[in-house]
Amino acid sequence: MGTLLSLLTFEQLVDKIAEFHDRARVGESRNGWKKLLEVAKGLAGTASRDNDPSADSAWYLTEVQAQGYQGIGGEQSLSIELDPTPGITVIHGANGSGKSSIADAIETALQGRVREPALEGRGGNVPIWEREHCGRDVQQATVALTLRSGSNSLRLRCCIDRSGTTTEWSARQSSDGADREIDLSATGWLSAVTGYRPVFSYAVVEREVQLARNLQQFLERLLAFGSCFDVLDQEIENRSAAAIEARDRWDAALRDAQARASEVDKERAREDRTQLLPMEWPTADQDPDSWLRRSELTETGIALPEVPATTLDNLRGLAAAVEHELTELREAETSLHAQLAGPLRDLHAEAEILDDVGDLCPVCATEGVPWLDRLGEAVADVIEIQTRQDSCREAIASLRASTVDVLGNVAAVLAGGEQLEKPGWWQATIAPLLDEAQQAGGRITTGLRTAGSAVVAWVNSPDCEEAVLAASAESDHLRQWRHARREAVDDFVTVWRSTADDASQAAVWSSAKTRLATLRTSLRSERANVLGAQTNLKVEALLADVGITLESITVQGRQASLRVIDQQDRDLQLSMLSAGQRNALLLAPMLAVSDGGPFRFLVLDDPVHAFDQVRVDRLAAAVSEVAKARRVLVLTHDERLKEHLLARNANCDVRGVARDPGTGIVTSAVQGEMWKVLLLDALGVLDTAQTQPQGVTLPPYDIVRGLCRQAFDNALRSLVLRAAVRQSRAPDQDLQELDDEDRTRARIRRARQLVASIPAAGTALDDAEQLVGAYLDGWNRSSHGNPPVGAQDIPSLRAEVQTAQQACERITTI
Amino acid sequence: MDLRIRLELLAAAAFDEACQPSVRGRQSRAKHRLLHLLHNLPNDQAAEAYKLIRLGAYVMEESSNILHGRSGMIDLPRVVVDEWRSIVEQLEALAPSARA
Repeated sequence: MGTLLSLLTFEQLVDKIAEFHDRARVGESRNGWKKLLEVAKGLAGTASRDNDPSADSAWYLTEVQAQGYQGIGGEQSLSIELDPTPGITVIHGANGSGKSSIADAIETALQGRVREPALEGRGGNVPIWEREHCGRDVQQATVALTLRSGSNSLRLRCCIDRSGTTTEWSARQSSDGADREIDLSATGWLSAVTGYRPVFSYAVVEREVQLARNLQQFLERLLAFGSCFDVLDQEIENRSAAAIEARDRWDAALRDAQARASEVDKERAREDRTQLLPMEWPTADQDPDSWLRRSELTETGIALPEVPATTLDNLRGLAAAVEHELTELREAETSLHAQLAGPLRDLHAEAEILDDVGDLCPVCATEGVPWLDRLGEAVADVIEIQTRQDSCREAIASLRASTVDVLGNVAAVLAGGEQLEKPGWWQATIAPLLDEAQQAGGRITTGLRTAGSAVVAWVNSPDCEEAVLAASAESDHLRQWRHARREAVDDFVTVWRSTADDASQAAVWSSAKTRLATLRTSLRSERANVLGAQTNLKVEALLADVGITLESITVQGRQASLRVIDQQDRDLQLSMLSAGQRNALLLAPMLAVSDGGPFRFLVLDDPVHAFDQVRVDRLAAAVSEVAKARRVLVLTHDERLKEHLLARNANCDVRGVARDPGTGIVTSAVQGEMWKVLLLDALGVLDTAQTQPQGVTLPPYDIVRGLCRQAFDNALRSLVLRAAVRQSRAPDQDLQELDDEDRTRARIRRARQLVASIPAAGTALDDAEQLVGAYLDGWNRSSHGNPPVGAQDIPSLRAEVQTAQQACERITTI
Repeated sequence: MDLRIRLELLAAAAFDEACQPSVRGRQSRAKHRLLHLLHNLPNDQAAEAYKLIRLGAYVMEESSNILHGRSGMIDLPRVVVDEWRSIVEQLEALAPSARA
């Protein structure tokens, strides 16, 4: 995760979860990690950082505007421009000059709402120091910021009504010439603002951190989990909640179905009737259709034997057919023709093979007739008898088969669907008959005719009628019972089908939620260690002289602790710290986390609150360190801090703020531009030489001209910087191009190119070059240790400095 | 006190070296005399040296406040003394005598 507390990305989360997943044993834990991993990967695949200004950007604050906000009056807008380069801007002013209003305005615009009050209450518990964010005499306060990252800019605007409610929060990003609105609440912006807290006010933080849980909240935010973790957390929460809700619905539907089915069973089950088997209830991970089939509750029918009401009629119809066939056969067989059929067929077969049968009929001795032909016709009639025999046999077989089927179903229905032994009457009466009636083919035997007749008789008997009707009644009863059961579970099945996926996953989602808590704890521990180590560096910088160090930061659940020790390694209770030490301890984490986030600025409002002089100096050193990589805006009334910061930083400017108590108008004026400081020093050097009783042998021309050159370069940089901002160019690149030129004249030429689209800037450069043109060679010669040119007496050098002042003034006031 | 004296001596020596006054006057304007450490300094060191000189001037002013009782800091912490000493030593390294 690196040594900096950067906002967690989905890719980092995926890696971390994969580690846990690989270490987890098979079972619920592993399933939970697996599910968490799936979700994180899914989010990583869909997350877009293109429109997220908190991703891969380094935003400098370049302009602050406020009107009607807190102590800043509504009549005139306050506007402060800031350099988009590392360094320090001191905003210096007396108490009540609007410094904290400026800091709060920046914080409000960054997060799109006013700060939550640290305390809330009514009556005697009303917090008396909470700020009113909307100014006294206005209906609406407006704050706006411009931020810049390379050639990209981001414009934030926030409006607040008198109740402190945000009425507008907009963000407009300009990138590569395209301008678009961004919904910052849908990006990681707010997480970044929370995690890196680019605005620190001791007065605010002290009010905020009063209780142990406040400390936990304060530190937890600085662990900078970021929006990716929040999104993952929300996703798991949503899915887990959906799964649990689905499972609850499933459970409720099941309970309802069980109750309704129980009622049905209670109504339908009678001791004298056949019973359905008790229902077996499913679990959510089963398939509803399989369960319906197993429970004989499918809509397409029931697989178990049934005896419909038409069974007896159908059976008796078959019996009548058999009876009819037997009668027909019997009648056909009793005719003389039929009795002679056999011998005649034999005679015809034998005669047919003779060459000459003669014309004397061998039966009736009639002469002169074609007796063989006539015999053939008689034999053909015999086939009809055979056909009737076949029909009869088929009828008996059909009756037999139906009887077997029907009686099988009857037995099964009466036995409640279970495979039981055939009842006694079956064994004793009909079974032998049916066995006898089983004949595959050939001529109908006497036995078959007898068996067929017996089956017919049994089918038409009261025994058969009683058995079939009883079975039919039971079958109808059971069918209706099943239908009632099906109705009882219908709603449950509907719910089951709609919730099956989620309900069956409830346990896994619940496990995933638990794993996410484990992940959070692990990340907290890791990041608290990093935060602790980085914060301690700042604590040491601020409190080393009193031997106070931060041993560790612990954030767990709703608890957090800062372990602070003294020189003898003894624990120090936080309550034992002085106000100044407390301020230092709360400020240190802010300074520590500033490196990781997307902000290249840090606002410190009254950072020396309750500090002694040593602490002010320590803070100046620590802030100067932080300012190497960002612009630090220090709002203070402290003269010592201002002076120390100016002394420590070459890139430090001072602005004074003042507030008109009558109108509330807050104004800001540049006081300590570096070129002015350099030229004042140049004059100071000349004054020192001039005040020598008998003058000096060598006027300090090289020092004075070197300072003039530095001052003019500084003013040039200031011009190029502001022009870059106005032209939406990347300030770093423009400054680098300027720095690449060695000589001042070449730097002026380059500056002219860089500000080309601002005519006023070009004119100012022309004027400035005309003013100092005669001195430039001398300045460069001095800077490079070459012999001087031009006048070197002190009055001439003083005139040179004053001309340099005019030139710098000209190019810094466009 | 030791650091303050070293700074005063450094400032005086730097001025004398750079301007070569005919007669030594009062050692006032010590802060501006320190700027004479820039005399004959290579161009690429000038910016850092200027920053250091400003720090030295700050130390001079603060130590003066302490010595004259204008500061609440009676017992100067070791860490501050060490830092000031480091600044003075870096300034002494800029002196023409040290450079030579």
